[in-house]
Amino acid sequence: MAEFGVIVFPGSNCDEDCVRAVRGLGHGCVSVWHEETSLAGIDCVIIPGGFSYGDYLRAGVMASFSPVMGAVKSFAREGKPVLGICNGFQIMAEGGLLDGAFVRNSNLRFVCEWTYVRVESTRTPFTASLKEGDVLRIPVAHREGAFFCGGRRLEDMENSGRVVFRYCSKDGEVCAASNPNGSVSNIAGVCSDGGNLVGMMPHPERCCDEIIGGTDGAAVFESVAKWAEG
Amino acid sequence: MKTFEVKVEIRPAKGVLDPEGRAVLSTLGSLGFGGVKSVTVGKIIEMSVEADDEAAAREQSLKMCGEFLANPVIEVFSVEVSERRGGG
Repeated sequence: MAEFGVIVFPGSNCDEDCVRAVRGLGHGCVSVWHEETSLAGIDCVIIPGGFSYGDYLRAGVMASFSPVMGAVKSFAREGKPVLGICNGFQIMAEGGLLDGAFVRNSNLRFVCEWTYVRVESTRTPFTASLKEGDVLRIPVAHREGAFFCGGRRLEDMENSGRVVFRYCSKDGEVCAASNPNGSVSNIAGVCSDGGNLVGMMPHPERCCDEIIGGTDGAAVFESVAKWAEG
Repeated sequence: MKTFEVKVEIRPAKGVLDPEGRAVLSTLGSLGFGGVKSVTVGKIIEMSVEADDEAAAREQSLKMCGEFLANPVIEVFSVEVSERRGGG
């Protein structure tokens, strides 16, 4: 059985949802307070969504300096899987675990809605069980959600297959109308060079149960669990 | 040690989406300020910093910007340093 660890910062608010989703799928899961410095016994780290440290200065930057992030960086260097969701993605980008950064949604509103994302890469543990071109229906909820990565960095990211998810239509067409926040190239999720670190803006933990409107998010957790059980 | 007043200005980098600047520009237009051709919204951080001299205060401040206060992927920054005068 794969053991997940969900990091909890002051201001995290999707941590319990992650724990519930992962346990609901039959896996082990513990919460890890941000002052912890050990991740012993954990196969996969999830950095959940929310408003860590009130989004002060820039979303995610304060949390990226927490004690636990030192342990997460060591965990990451060992090639183990880390998933940052929403604010977790912002924390990973601010902490240098992933390329890119976030600015406010292009419409300046908090966007809370269902989106479709197309799987662009299956080289990550979180998408290894999926197929390129698969379309998942997963909700977003954010204000600073416009992913930005400029010039050569973006080219590098595209050329090295580090774009993992793109916002798309129900049929998988990547177009301006399917982009909820103004992210460059409709990017909804990216990975590290090694592929073991993934950040995504949509919330897979919010769609792992029919009773809350969908189950497509389960594929992300099932994929990494299968990978960890290897 | 002397005390220096440091003002850090942080702005969106060129080419980065600045929806806030765009919204302010549009509202200025509708208020009749048609002469405004572009708007950038950034932030200012003011600090009092103790250091041996102005160069040291500047160096520390630039390091803070590089490591924490600004994000070079989306922002540019400038630093102004002046020695605090008078009895503070």
